[in-house]
Amino acid sequence: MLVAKKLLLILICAVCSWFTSTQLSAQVSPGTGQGGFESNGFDFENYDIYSMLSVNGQFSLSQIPNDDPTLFTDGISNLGDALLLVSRTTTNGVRDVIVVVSGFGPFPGVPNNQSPVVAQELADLLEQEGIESQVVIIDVLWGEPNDRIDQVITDIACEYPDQQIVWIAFGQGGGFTLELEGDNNQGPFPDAGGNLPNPPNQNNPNGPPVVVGSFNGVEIVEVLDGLGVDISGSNDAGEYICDSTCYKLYRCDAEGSIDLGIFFHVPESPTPGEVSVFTSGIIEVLFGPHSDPDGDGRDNIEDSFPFDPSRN
Amino acid sequence: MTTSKRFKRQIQLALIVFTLCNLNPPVVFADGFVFQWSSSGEQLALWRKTDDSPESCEVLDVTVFELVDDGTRLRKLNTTTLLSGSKPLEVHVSPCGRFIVTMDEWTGAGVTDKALVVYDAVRKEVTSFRLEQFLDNAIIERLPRHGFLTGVKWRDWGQRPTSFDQFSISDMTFYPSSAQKVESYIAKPKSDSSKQIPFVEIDLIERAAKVVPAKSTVPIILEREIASHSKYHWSAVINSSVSAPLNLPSRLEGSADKESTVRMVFTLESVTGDYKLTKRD
Repeated sequence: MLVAKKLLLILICAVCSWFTSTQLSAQVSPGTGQGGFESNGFDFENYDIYSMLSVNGQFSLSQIPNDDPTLFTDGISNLGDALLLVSRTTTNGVRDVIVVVSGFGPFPGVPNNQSPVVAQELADLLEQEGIESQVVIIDVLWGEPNDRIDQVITDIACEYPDQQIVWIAFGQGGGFTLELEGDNNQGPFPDAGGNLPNPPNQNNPNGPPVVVGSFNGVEIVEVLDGLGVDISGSNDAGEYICDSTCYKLYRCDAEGSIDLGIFFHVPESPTPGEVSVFTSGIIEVLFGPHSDPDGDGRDNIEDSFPFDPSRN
Repeated sequence: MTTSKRFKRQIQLALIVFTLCNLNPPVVFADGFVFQWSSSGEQLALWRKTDDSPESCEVLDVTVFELVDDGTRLRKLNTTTLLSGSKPLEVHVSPCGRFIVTMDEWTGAGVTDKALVVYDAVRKEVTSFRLEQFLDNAIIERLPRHGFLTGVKWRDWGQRPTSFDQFSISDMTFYPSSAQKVESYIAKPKSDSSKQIPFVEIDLIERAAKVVPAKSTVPIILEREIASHSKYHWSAVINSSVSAPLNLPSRLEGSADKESTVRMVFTLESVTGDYKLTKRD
């Protein structure tokens, strides 16, 4: 009975009650015994694997690296009472979240802005992960971030009313930087159209002086740093179009028109390797099994999309 | 065509169609120029760039006009040729029109030999500074990284109606930072609490810059009275109910309906270099 229990691969449909119907799905592996996973051709790469131990009638979850070779050579007998396979995709292969990835066009002194390059690379990686994304290039014009962000959000909300919206914005700056807040201040710098901001030089005359991002900035910086990205947190997005974008996104996040807004500055000449580590790190920290976007300090499956802080 | 004639023709073209509308961007001007109104709305600084491409940032010269005759004429005060290859991030014109101060460059903040440049249009003198010339190394080491450029942030004015407000015309000084912002760096540590910016005072007459104790530069009576008595903004009716300010000179007061365009045509008076308003509709 015990062996049978250990070998049982459970489709815990009840677990699905932890999620909404369109969210992550938990499935049983079609394998039926030791060493049976791989031979069945099951695609584990698309699943997060949790070992379940029964303690006094309650399950305890611990995650198993799905790229651990011993998982398949040693079999599953020592992995716990049961395995929970949490699909990283919905049944149609797409998470119920749309990630808008944005960069900027050229601006004074910068004919070739690196931010669209980074944005496209992240979008490509998201696609490989089965996460739908959309690339948006924002013109470096005063007022444009407000208009463009509103337009994109409205379009997505109309077309996909049930999907969550995550907006990851990139701007070219002095280095890899996570902007922790947006300031309601426009510096006297001409935009790409040769126009200075208009009085009262604010992103939103009726808005608060500062809007802080809702994410766990300290952890995101720590994780990316640990992955090899030379990154720091910043409270100064620069009072230019980047800051306007940052301010707008963090307001949208706070007001609920998007589910997460986050802004990164990137160096003016990053190497392809740096971009690769950075973009894959973003996916890891925001969408990976160890992500903690709700900032509760715990590594748990509730941190997977879609975010639902009420579960924590 | 000589350079002078080409310049005049460009300015003529620039101001022939002086289009103002109340959408974003609410003020649309001719290509290749940056128009900067003073906070009192009585002056206009015209930056002439090398070209009108989005990445263009090299400024050749700055011409300062004052608005006279009830807003029907832009009287030319002076033209200041900037140092060769100048790509200033900010250009500030003193309320009297005599001094121009540029700070930082698009190629780097606080790290070029034009971190601070003071132009005196009357004496035709130019003084450029590197940061090390007026900031100690200990201060430079504590400067935060610039928000979006390579380099450091050595000044922060914060919110301002326009850049003209950073001048004190009573004692001919210019303040790159506001006392409030300098103090906010101390009171509210940024991500790295060791970072601070200094309070710098620039003596325009002596063309000298030095660090001084932070002091409020706001109560500049003459400037404030000008601003408070001027009819500063046009009112644009947006969504039929909300008024929004436009960056227009005081004497051109008026209002515009949503999506309407106000077109003003100025013509060059070649002898004086002035522009005269000949049409407005």
